Amino acid sequence: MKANTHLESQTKNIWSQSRLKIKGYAGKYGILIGFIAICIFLSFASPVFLTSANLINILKQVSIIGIVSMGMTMIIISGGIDLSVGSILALTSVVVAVCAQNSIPLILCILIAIAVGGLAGMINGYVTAKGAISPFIVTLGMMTVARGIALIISNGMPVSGLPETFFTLGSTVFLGLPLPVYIFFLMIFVTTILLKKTRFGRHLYAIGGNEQAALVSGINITKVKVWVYVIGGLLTGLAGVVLAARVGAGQPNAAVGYELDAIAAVVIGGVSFSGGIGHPLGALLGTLIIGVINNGLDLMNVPTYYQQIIKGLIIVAAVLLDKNRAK
Amino acid sequence: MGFLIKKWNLSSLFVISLLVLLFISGCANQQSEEATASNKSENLSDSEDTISIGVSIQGFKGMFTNYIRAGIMEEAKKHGKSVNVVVVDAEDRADKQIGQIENFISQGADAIILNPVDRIASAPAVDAAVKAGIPIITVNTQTDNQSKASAFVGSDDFEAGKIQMDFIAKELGGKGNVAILHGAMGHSAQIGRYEGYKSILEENPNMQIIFENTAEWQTDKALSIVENWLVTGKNIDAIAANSDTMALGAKSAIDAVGKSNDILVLGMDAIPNMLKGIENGQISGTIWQDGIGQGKYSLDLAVKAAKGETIDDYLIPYELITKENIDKYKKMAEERDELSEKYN
Repeated sequence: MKANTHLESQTKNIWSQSRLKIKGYAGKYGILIGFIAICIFLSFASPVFLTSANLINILKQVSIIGIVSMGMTMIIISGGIDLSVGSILALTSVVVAVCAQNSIPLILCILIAIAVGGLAGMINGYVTAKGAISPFIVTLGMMTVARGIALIISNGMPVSGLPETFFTLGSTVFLGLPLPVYIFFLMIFVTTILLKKTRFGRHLYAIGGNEQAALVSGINITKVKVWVYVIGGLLTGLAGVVLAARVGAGQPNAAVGYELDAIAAVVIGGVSFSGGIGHPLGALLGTLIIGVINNGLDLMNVPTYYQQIIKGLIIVAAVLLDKNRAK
Repeated sequence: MGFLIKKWNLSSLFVISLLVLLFISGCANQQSEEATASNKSENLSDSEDTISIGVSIQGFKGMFTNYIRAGIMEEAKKHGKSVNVVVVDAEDRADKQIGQIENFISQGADAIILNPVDRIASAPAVDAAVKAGIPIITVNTQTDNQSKASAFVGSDDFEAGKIQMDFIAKELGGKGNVAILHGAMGHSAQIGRYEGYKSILEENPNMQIIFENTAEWQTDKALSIVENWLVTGKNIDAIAANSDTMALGAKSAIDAVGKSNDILVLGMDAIPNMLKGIENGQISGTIWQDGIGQGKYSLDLAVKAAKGETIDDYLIPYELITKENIDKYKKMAEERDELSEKYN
């Protein structure tokens, strides 16, 4: 009897997964059309939009949020959420700057900052999984804790006076594209492999799709959950390093509200808030949509107050378009 | 059952780490108490021979409020044991701030210093103090009902905007394209400074605003916005930023396209990085707002008011920092940052 229900729930799970997958793919193309539509509009609205200098600018500007949104994609697919990424970004940017200021070798500074991000993620994951508390609450707590630590370490001031080599990290151009863009692309690749080609990735989809079914099919849910937050934290730490290199300082007050940008990018990209569905390339599209809107509104010099309204409307419209396509 | 034990372990871990943290912060507090030498306690003592002053600061996320606090503590030190100062953090929440002022009143404070979270939402705090007959001094930001308060100590943001834009107008010979980086929209400093900009621009009809947007005081946002402006190829002669943090972002974007010599960049606040840039000739100028002075004068007035003396508003002028006078301000900034670290 018990074996029977087990089998039943497993088949149900597989069935619902494949159905959701189809829906997910349809959504992905829907959002692609939305993205292209926005780009066509902007290329008419501003003559410089399609110039290579501007397109490189856009890629450069989205790389930080983009790296963060890769981690967020995995976390949301597993049915979780991470509100602490903005604060962890600020914290790790301060950590890498403080290390560099104390003439610790650059590569070590970077590794320390990434490790700090991973540690924060581990705490998020551990408390969420072991304590059986909603990740919304846990990461909300981490959001204020990490910001507080960043303020303590930096004495509330931007950490500057970094070595020249540190700036080159943000400004080195290779084959026309700055280094942060390559880091972003590499992270998309890594995330896609992790999600689509590994057992860990399959487990993430399974847990996000139906946690009970994942549990009975023998997946170690705690372990997977802790790891997904660790990976998310590591990626955020890496993004923190890129942020510090880009602005040339570690800032405790930076990246306020970035968690919302990252979550918006991921959800626009067709990753389901309820978990189990989504593709990193969708999140890439979502990130690009946000970046292109920000860029386009600046190019057209749209008045500040209106920018906020337009941004909000376009985001909702893009997802609406996506929904209609998926039906 | 096993799960329950595990859960208990996790919560005990939390409790232990909380206790450790409280211990650490307690130690940190003790250190700063020793440094201030003022008998800082959780509650205001209501004894006959000491003057108790309650201070509510809007929040400590920015640097500037740290300067104000340092000024207050430094001034309090001069009075030794005869003045007892308690500083509380309103965490950028007006409702919390009102509660703090009510607590000061019920504890029998002799005077209150209010650094308002919000012009309108913090106004009831002033009403409460006035009703209780306790002198209240606002510092840095005015409230809506400012006329009811005993005095205001601060600087006029309208002036700051005027000074900054006036320098740009003179440098450009009264004509050219200006881009503006706003702080958080609706912030009293953003509104005041913008009004100041506009008043100078009205006097110079050949100067126009070519771009404007908010970077919400943040360097990375300012960097992206200015990158976007520059790629349009439109001519920008000067960028006026509401804060140094944003001016530094603008500077990075300008340097990246090799236009460092073509565009003036001005900020406000005189943070160390900015002063370094002015010294090297990379940045045109910034504006000095005397946070320490605001703190010192507000405490001075509070003590006088507590003794029953009549007091008046005290306005501290803004000062323009350029390459000409950088040495003087560099030294002042070092002293300021040392002091603020001491009381942090």
